[in-house]
Amino acid sequence: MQRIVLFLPFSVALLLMVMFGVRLTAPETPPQQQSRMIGKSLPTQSIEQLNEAEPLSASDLKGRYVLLNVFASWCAVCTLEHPNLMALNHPELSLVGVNWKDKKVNANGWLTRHGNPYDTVIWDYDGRWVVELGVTGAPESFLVSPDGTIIYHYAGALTPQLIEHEILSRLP
Amino acid sequence: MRLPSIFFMLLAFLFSLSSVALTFEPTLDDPAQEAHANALFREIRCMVCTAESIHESKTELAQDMRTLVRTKITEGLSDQAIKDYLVERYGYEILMSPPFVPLTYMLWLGPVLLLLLGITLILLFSRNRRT
Repeated sequence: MQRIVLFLPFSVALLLMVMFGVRLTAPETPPQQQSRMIGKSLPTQSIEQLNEAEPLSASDLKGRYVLLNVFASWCAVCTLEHPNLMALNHPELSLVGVNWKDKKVNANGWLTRHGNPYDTVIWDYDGRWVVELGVTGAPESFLVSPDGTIIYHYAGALTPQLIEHEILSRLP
Repeated sequence: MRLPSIFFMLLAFLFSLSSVALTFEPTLDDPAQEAHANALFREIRCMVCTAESIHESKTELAQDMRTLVRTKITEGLSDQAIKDYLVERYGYEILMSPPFVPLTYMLWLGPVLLLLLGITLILLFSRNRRT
């Protein structure tokens, strides 16, 4: 009996090492599979636009593939991602910016300096759409199908590889 | 008052102003509702500074979440409904206290089980000594 008791801590430690080893060396889940937003719809509330008088609602974005891109003038990484968005040109894809927590003058200034690839820009000053979309930072992007369902979600800067493999591959 | 004292007091005052670095955040008019909101803030994690709740965090996301929680409180949603709304979008990690669900049974019960195991071992050892 004493022998079993002596071996117990070692067996438990060994079991834990095996468990940790298996989990730590397992292939990482791709980001879009980790997102809880896949399959969800866009927020239902209408929201102000940066440079248009009328508010925008999710129904305005239906009928075509939309890449929603959360950006801000205070977001340093967004300047790194931006050239990739400027280069993105697909006839089936509409680019919609979600400007987060920016004064309009700062947002427009930033777009003038770095270029404006967006068909339209949402002005989400108090994060109404941002929190509804489960966003944790900028830049963050969502690919939305023509029926308004989120089919891809990436937190971070979109690289040319990501655009190629995750976004363009999902377009017709 | 001597000049250095005035200087340091001014410096301290200026430093304290940095606490208003975030944009102005409107609070609820009803103090009871605002107190309720603050209590709920402490139960929700900031997803940017994950060791802090949205009560302490000074990030933009925390501020927006506080605004959202306040709005939902005025809309009459219960605390549980508000938490469910956030968990749906951010996962269980958004709660400061993990829920007691199948995924977290080992997290909650693990320490208890280990304690029981330890007590069992101690009892077994002491019983062996006596024989």
